[in-house]
Amino acid sequence: MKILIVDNDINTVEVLQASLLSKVNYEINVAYSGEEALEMMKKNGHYELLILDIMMPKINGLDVCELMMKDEKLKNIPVLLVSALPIASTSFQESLEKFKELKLVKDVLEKPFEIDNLVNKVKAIVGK
Amino acid sequence: MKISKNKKKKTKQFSEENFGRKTKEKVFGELEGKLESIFENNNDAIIFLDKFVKILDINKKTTEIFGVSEKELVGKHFTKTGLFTIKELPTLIRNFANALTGKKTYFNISLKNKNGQQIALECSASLIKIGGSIRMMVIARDVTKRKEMEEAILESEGRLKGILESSPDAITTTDLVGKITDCNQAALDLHGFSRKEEIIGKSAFHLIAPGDHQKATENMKKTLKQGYVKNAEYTLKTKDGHQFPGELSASVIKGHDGKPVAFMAITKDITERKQAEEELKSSEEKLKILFEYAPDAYYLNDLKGNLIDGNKAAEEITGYRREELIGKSFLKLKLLSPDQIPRAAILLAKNALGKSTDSAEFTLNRKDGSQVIVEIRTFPVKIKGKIHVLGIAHDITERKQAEAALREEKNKLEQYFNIIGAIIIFFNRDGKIILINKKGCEILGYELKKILKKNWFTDFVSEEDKIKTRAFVKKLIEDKSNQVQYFENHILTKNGKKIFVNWSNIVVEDELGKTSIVLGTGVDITELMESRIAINDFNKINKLKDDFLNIATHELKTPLTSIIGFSEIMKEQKLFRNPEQKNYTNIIHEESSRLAGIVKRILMITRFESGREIIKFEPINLSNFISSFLIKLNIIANKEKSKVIANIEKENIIIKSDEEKISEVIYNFIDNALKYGLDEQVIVVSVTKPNKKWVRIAVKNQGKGIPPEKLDQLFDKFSQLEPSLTRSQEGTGLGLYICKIIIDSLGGKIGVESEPNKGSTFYFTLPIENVATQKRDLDFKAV
Repeated sequence: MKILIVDNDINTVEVLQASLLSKVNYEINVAYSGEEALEMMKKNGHYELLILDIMMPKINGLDVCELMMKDEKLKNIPVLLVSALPIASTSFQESLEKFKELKLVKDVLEKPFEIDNLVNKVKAIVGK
Repeated sequence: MKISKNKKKKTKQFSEENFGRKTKEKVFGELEGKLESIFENNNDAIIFLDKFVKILDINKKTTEIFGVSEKELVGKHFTKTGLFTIKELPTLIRNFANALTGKKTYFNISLKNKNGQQIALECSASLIKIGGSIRMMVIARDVTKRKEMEEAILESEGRLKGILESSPDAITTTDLVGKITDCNQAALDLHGFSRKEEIIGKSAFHLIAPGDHQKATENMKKTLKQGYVKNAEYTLKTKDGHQFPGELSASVIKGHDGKPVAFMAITKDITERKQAEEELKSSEEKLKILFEYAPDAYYLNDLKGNLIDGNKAAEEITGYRREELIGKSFLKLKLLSPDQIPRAAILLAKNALGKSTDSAEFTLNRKDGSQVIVEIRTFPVKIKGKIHVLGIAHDITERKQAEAALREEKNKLEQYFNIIGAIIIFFNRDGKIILINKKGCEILGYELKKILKKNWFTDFVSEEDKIKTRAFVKKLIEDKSNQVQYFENHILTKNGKKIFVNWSNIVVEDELGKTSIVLGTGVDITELMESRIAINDFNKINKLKDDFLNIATHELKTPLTSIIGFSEIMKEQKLFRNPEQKNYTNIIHEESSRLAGIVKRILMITRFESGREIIKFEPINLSNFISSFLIKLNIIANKEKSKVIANIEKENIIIKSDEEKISEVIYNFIDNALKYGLDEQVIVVSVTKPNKKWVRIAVKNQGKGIPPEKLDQLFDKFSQLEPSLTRSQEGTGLGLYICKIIIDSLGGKIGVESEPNKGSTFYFTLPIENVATQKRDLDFKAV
């Protein structure tokens, strides 16, 4: 089980990684920008889950999704979006809907999160 | 007869004796005078002849009848008198010869006298003895006149007969029992017979329909009694039984003795007349109906104003019944107010002069005191030689009211025209101003008179808009579109101020329909334009606020994520060197979680308040929803050793609403119930349907309840039961406020029922048919 965590905030990457590892035993890679994440996904082969922050400088989370959709190799990697914005806010709702429909984005996790909530969502997506 | 013969004999004998026995002188002495007188003055011609028929003596009448003198006849043989022609002589000779045999002979003769007159004579010739001599005495009576009369009678009889025969009226004669004795051709034709023989001898009743036989019998009696019956109507009958109306006049024919001997009847077919009468009757009825049911009031009055008749409409208009109107004057009925009477009198005066009058308006006082306005026209009419007045009154009350309403509308319109807060202007294609309202004058800053002398394009339209305004007006007039066209331009006012005006324009035709003019309604939107700019700015600010909010959210939450996350990991992994560390880690986790909660709520409120919170209306099966939600709620409640149970009145209530938002509210209610209620309590979530349109979801706890004076403020922002410095319960005081704005946004109502020490029930209602759905969607689109 190979998972990639992407967030520009080092602490957040850290807490996501630690939270997951406190509960499950996955292979976890991390990236600190959209560009880096895309590069890693292309280079390192198949990931079973991408935990992706939305608000990032330059290429944000939704841009990453957009680019993944255009790539035959990447468009089937499930994404768990992580956002400080509440899901109900209007800002990203429409774009989010689009990716949800295309079955790229499987779920959204609101920051701050409870460990159990994170783990449950991840398990639900990877099916274990 | 015998007696008279004997008398004659006696006379003869007597005269013979006298001539025989007494002397001539003596006899003549006594008788001569008398006889001579009789002889001479006799009305008949008396001629004495000898036995050779020589004329011996004649009387005076003889000379008159024959037109000759005594000399011309006396002493002459009668054949030589020249009075008789070959035509008369044989008759004379034959009769004289007969008389000479002693037989008294009578004969008639006709001849021409000396004066050329045709005369008819009735003669008698006989022998008498005078003084022993045999003499023949001829007495001739002039019957010319009688003959003429007889002929005249015969002639007139014939003529009468002709008249009767050829009369167009049927004439029938009957005997006194009604048996037909004769009839004319018209009678045959009338009754369909071809020959007289068919009806003569039959009863006249054959010609009358059985139904009228009784009447005929009575009329016969009447005719006998008074001599005639005139124009009696019968139903008559033809030979083949066809019946038709007839008229019969009968009279009695009297015999010589003056007694009735027969009836004569003149009969006429009056079918056509009857039809005409019927038609007349029906047309009379028609007229009557027309009069009676005419929509206008028709009435007749005399020249003093006394009413003679009136129709139904007259009754309706005045409110009086006809009996109440007839015979009374309009003065007495007080139909007119005193000030109208002189005008009414003028109308009557005109009528008296034989003139009709044009429509004149009067207000009538009705019987019930109400009033009607009528238009009256009058016409003088002659009835039985007297001049009366026919009046026609048309109720125009409604029309008057409509006119008044129209006037009022017009006034309103005029007022509106002047008080409306917009410029209303009419100008032609060259910009000549035709009319402008008061507000227009005010805005432009000139008096009406001055504006009317100015040109719209050159004097008012601002320089930069002149070309486009002219072009617009030109196109507007050429298109002649009857649709309103909108336009905006800058207008210069008297004080040099430039205003921006939004125009609604339409092309109308002038009164003559020749020229097209522009009707423009202009609203000064200068300020509006300024606020448009302001709104734009506002939107920009809002955008900035949004961006700030997003950034703030991110910046607040990102560190919290780490703090909460790591403190939780530490808790989970029990990486503590001593109990204090464990305690502090717990505090860090709890407080950071609380902080996260506050941040989340504040952000949510901000989104709601700025209308940026998305609400998804989706069908929710309430019983399913509550049942599954109950599990989560019990996890929380169980921590406080309490229990949440559901009481669902009706299964399968489906509403259209936002499940997540409803969850938030219920969660808040439960959270409050746990915070403020008793330990180990049972919290009841109930779902009821008070009526078809609403559902009610309530959460009831067991606890100390809420003091009544606090109930009102519960749903206010930052409201908590206890003053903030002494608060024993944690919380931000935002929970119920969020609940309120959520329920408001879902179109429902939120509330609380509580009594101290009996617990509280927090509830909200939601519409089942979510009428707010569309409206809210629209609102969001607008944002």
